[in-house]
This record gives sequence, structure tokens and C-alpha cells, in this order.
Amino acid sequence: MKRIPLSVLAEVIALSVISLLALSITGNGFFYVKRQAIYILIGFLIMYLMIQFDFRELKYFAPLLYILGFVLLLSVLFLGHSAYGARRWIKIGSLITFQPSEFEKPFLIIFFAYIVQLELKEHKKFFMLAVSLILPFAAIFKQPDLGTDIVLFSIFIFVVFFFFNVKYFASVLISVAASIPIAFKFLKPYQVKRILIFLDPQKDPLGSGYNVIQSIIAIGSGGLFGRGIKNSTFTKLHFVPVQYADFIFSAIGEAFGFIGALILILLYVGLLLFIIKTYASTENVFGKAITIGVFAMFLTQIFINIGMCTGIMPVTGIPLPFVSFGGSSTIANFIALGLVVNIYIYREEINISI
Amino acid sequence: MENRGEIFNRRIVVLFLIFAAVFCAVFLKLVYLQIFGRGHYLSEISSQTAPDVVNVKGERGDILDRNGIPVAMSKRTFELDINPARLSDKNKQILLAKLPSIINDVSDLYLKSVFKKYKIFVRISTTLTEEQKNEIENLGISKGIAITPTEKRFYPFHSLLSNAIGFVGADDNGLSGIEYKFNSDLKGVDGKIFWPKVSSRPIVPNVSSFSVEPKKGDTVELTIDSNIQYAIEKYLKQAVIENKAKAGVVIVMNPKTGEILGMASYPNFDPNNPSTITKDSIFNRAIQMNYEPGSVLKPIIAAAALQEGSLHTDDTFVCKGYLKVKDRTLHCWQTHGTEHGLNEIMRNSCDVAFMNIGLKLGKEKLLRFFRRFGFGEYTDIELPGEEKGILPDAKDTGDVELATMSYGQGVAVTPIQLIDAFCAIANGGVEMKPTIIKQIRSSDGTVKYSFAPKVRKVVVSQKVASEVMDALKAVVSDKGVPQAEVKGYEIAGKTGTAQKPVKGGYSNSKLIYSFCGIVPANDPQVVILTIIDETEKPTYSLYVAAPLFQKVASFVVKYLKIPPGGGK
Repeated sequence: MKRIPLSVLAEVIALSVISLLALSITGNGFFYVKRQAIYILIGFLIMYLMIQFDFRELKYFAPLLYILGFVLLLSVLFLGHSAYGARRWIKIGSLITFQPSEFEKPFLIIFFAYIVQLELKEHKKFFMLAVSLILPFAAIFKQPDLGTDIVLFSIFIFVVFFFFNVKYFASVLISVAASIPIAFKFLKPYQVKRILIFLDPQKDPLGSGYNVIQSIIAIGSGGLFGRGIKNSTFTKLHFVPVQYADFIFSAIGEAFGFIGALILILLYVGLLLFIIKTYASTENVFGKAITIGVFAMFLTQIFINIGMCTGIMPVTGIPLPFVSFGGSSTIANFIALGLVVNIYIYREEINISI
Repeated sequence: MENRGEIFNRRIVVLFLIFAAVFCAVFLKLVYLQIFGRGHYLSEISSQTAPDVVNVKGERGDILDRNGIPVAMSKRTFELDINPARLSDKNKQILLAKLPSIINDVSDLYLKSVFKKYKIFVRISTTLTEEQKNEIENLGISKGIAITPTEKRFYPFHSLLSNAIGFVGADDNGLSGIEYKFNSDLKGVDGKIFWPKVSSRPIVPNVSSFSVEPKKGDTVELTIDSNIQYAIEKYLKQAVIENKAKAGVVIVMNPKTGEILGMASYPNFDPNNPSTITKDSIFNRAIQMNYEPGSVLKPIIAAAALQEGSLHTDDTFVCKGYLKVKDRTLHCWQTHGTEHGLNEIMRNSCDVAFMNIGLKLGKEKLLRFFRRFGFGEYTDIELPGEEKGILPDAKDTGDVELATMSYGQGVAVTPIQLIDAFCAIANGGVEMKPTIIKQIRSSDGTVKYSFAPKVRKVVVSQKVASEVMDALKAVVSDKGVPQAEVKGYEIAGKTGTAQKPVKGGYSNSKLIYSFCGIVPANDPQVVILTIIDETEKPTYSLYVAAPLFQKVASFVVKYLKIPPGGGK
């Protein structure tokens, strides 16, 4: 029964359709639509490959994947290609660029799960977990890519909460709270600005607050039923910057309205409920840990992205899973989902052996 | 291991709660943004962050004469606005020193008052030329000064045809004449250029993200021939000045099609300077003046009586110089004695004879024929503010009123109605609808309207029309009105010297003089009506309106190359 559950397949296809529709109105003809369609096809292929083996075999590759991820991140720092004031991409030839930080998410999830299932003392495991987070975290912070770091940290904190004694979770929270003043020192000026703007977007409506305000107006203008693909002027006139990527939710909000946004959210709810179901149905700790990691990854990205577009969260460059334009993020999402589907498919066999 | 399983189960609950909380937050925010808080966000925020939109004026369409010569057109100009609050003191000094010499109608006194009074952008001029714009830009002031392209209505021939064309207000809307009547056609559709404010990307000058192209308004082509128009305006002005008259009208019309070839009303105005317009100069007498025409109406009365059989071309009349109607004695302008036939009474313009004709015809029939000729009704010429003349009610008309109406007093017509009635006689009894619009084309060349001759009414039979024509031919002769003769052409026409109504009766000194002539009489090509209002000294139409007609007709036959012998 190596089959992707129909509900999951339907949800991912629906998300892909929404993505392509939204991209078709954000402009530039079909430039983004064509590319995104290719990424989605590659994604489905990878998800299919991901369920052709028992995920437990990944245990043996986990350290290797972790090292590979870290090396890629380091190479970005030294050989990377920069855009929008950040060095996040690696160029292969003249056509293909990819973003190792996106792939770091599933790689780290697998490595965290590997650590969790080790038969070691809890404090040792926690130490390993923390160290294995800090290395890629620092490399990504240097790019800088605060959004991905937030996702990685969120994965970390979910894993700590679910697989460690509560005191570890508490100590993480306390140390985070304590380091906030120090963190501000390390943040780039624009990042500090974004946080301040989040607190009051009207402070600089034409500068840093511009994205959020335009996004909110676009979403608000959609109303209950949306303005349709034809009349979505905010989107078509590019009032919302980089709408094809991080702000794609505002295009959906304008064109398809509250109903459209609700459908999108319900699709995510379905996907996340499937992950919870998988978590509950497997007894394998390695599997459970991966599931929690993927859950944390998707939930954080969805919440921060939609939150940013609607003004609940500060602006951070986080793509909306399966919807935002981007090859690396789309494929990484399919890899992550593929892991969960694999665990779901092999849940019966695993329940017997632990 | 059981303990562990329990922990996992408890943590699922936590997981589920986090998950639910997150989605509730997003859901509630969306409900607020897209349903309840919508108006608030759209109204409060959009104005602050709305992208720059620059309106690009859609050019107003041209008005052309029948030969395609523009009589009203749009000229690219530039608008200068100044915001004193954003000007540095140094730049204010520069502007005070230089601007008055660049723009003539801006004084330094005016500038000083602008600097003092306003803290917002103030419009200084909308008529800058390209050179003036460059000069101002060369002053090197970037803040507090704005120059935007706009357009200005321009009338290359100044007062030519001004009463019919009208003029355009500061907001680019036509306020009178054709500019007003066809405003929605002439008006262009404004374009827009959007400049979104993107913080991550600098705005590149002159590179917009999105633009809607402006569209030029429709072109309106008139039936007017600007050469004829120029000539009639020149002669009319001369005649008014020579006779020290108050005003005048000349209309040149094609009787076969109803096309107006020229329409002059004096005084007129220069639409390039709307501030110089007066109530009198903007008045288009050709269509807006109700006046009692006098004897020039006699051919219409004759036509009515002939058509009704109450007059025959060989009837004999006796004029003793007056006629007693009821208790009133109505005088003829001369004592004509015995007159034989229609031609003679028409040539003599004998009031007594026409009073007898009118009395015999009866008021009902006379008024019915007036209506049939179009008096008391709009001609529906494509100009705003047309009058329709004044016809008395049959029940208010006694024999005295009937008698005076028979020589053209006590009934008011407009010049356009009068010339159209003459055209009907010239055209074998078929009255055409007068028109001034030949074609309307949109900016891409599509024809939206094209003139086709339209019959208004068949007023009298061809036989009656030709009998009246014969009488009118007799008028313009050595014994009648030699002042209206055009060498080499047979002309048919009629004079009219009418008393103007004043309080309590008619004035003996305030007269209005008309002449309506048909050229050439044997194959009418044009009908010309000349009217002079109130000369300094009372005189007769044949000394005022007829010579004006003669000048106009001589020009028109030459200009239109109408063959001398007439006929085709």
C-alpha cells in the first residue's frame, strides 16, 4: 500500500492550483506560473520517490544529511549569490539557483529525530540537539535569513517540548527571554525596523511599513467574495512588493476574497490534521519526532506568513508552503510532506517494533 | 513505555490547542480585515499609501470646417503650480526675479501675495509653452514647484464663427455653442500613469509601472466653409460700422441640402480670451434672436395664399396708401395706385395689397402656413439655445393683427427659420432641415455620424414655389432693388424693413433691415439672408441689407464658381 492518501493528494493539488492562479495575476505574464508548475511537478516526483523506502532506513543517513546541509550552508556564505541585500543562493551554471537554507529544514528535522531516538541520557541528547541547531542557525543568521532561523528554532522548540522533560523546555524559554536584548545587537538595522514597524505600521507608511499596509489594503479590498482574477488591481499594478513570493497571500485575499482565503486555510488545516493523525498513529519515536518537526515547520511558516500579510506578525521572509513562488522551498515542502506520508504508510509495521 | 505513551497523548492535546489557537487568530484577523474592518482600512490607509497617479489629459477633439481646416484645436501647454511652503527663501527670490519676465501675466506683486497667503500648491498658469517650461526648469528649483503637461483650447482664427463654435471653460468643458452641444463627443478620455511607491525599489523617473493611454476626443466637422465665413463676417462688420448699426446677421445656406455654409452674428468675440466675452457678443443672433421681419415675410404670405387659391398671380390690387381695418387706419409705405399681378405688388412691397391678401386668406389658414413653414417651431439645428419665434394664438388674433401679420409685423421669427422658409421656396416647396454638422469622427477615424440631407416638410407645391420665385425675381430689378443685383446672375429676393416693438407700440426710428436672396434664381445654389439691426438714422432695407447681400452674393458666386447663366 505504497499510496499517498487521497485526501493529502487532493489538498496538495488544490494548493498548487491556488498557487498557479495567484501567480498568474501577480504579473509578468506567465513567467512565474510556468516555472512554478515545473517545480510542483518535480515536487510530486520527489514525494513519490520519498515513499518508495521505509523511513527507518533514514536513521543511517541522518548524520550524513546533516553534514551535507551544513556544508551547503557554508558554501553559500563563501560562494553564494546575493539578491535583495542577502546572500542566500547558490548558482549552478547560469540558470539554476537554489537555496540551501530551504533544504536545511527537512535535513535538520531528520537529524533531530535521529538524536531523539538515540538511547542516551536525556541531558546529553538535549546538548546534542542544541549544538546541532546552533551550527546551521548561525550560518543562516549570517546570510542573513531570519525567517528560516525562526522556522528552525520553532522545530527545535517543538521537539524539545514533545520529547524532553518539561524543565528543558522551560529553560529554553527562559534563555530566549534573557537573550532578547542581546539579540537586538546582532540584528541588522532593517530587521529591527521591521519589528518596530510591526508594532506600528503607520509609523512609516511609505517606507518600511509599506509592504504590510499595501498587503492589508489588497486583502481588505477583496471583501467576502474577492474581486476576481480580472479586477484585482492592487495585485495587477504591483502595489504589493514581491507579491509572487512572500506576499502571495495578499493576492489570494484580493482576488478570491474571504471565501478564497478560508478555503486556503482549511486546506492547511486538513494537511496539519493529517500530520497530527500520523503522529498519533505511529509508536516509533523516530517517526513521531519527524512528524512533530514537519508539523512545526509548516505551522510556523503558515502562521508567520499569513500573519505577516494580515499584520498579525512582523515582516520576515518566510514563504507560504506550497503556494509561494520558489523552487527550493516548493521542493523542500514536498520532501517534508513526503516524510510524513512515508511514516503514515509504514505506521502499522512500525507499531510492532520500536 | 506506558508512561511515555500517556505523555505523547497529553502532548497531542497541547499540539492541537496550539494549532487551534493559531488558526483562530488568523481566521479572526481575516474576518476583521475582509468583512468588518474593511471600510476602515480602505478609507484610512489607502489615502496615505496610494500610489502616485498622474492624470494625462485626453486631448479635446478638433472642430473642422467642411474643407478640413481646423477652427478649434487643442494645443499642448504646461501647467505651473507653486507651493510656497516648500520653497526655500532663496528660491522664492529667484522666482520673484525671473518668473514675471518668463510669464507675462504674472506680476511680482501677485507672486508676493501668493507666497504670503498660501501653504499649498497654487496654480500659477496653465498656458506655458515648451520654451517657457524649459526656462522655468532651468531655474533649477526642484522643491515646491510642479510643471505638468496639459492642453489649451486654441482658436486659430480667433473670432471667426465664434458665436456658433462657442468656447471652453477652464475645466475643459464647452460652455456655449458647438463646444457645449457636442462636449461629450469632443472631450477626450484622460489617461493615467501609476507610480507605485515601492520601498525596496527606487522609482525610476519616466518609467511607470502601469499606464492607461489617454484618448483624444472626436473630431467634429462642420458644414461651414471658413472662406465664406470669413467673407461674410468681414462684410457684415463693415456694414454694421458704416451704418452705425447695433448688430447684424448673415446666413448662407444650401437650399437643396440644408447645409449652412456660413453663419455670422455681429458682435462676436474671441474665444481664446473668454474673459472678454459679453452677454451681447456671445448672443448668436442667427438662431437666438426672435424678431419681427417685416416685408421680407411677404413671399411666405403669397405662397400660402397661392396654395390656398385665395390669390392668383394675375390678381389686381388698388393701393390708396392706407387701408381701414375695423376702426384702425393702416398705412402703406407709399401710395401705389392700381397694381397688376403678384410680381408688381411684390416688387412694390405693397402693404395694402398684402393686407388684403391676408384678410382674404383668414387667420387660421395664415397661421397654419406659418407653422408649416416652420415658424414657431425649432429648426433643430445642432446648436444650443435656439429660439423658436413667436406666433400669436388664433383666438387672440383680430382683423387688425391679421392685417399687420400679412406684412410681417406682429409675428416673430428667427433668422434661421426665415432663411429655411426661403430655401423651401427656392427648392420647389421642399423645406430641408438646416444643419451645421457634416460629420463626427472618433480619434481612430471611425465615422460616428455623417450628414445626409433631411426633408423637414413639403410646404407648398412646386407650381406655387415657382410662382413666388417669379415674383422674387421681379423684385431684384431696375424698378425694384437694384442694390441686390449681382452682375451676370439672375437673383430672386425680398427686402424687409421692420419696426421694432417698443413699450406700448412700434418705434418709428428703431428699425431692423432684412434681405433674403436666392442665387442664382434659375437654379438656386445658395440662399443668403442679411440682417442689420438698428441703424443710426432710419432708412430702408434696400440701402442697408441689400448692398450687404450684394457683396456677399458676389463673393459666394465667385468662390463657389457658380456659372453665370445658371443651370446645369
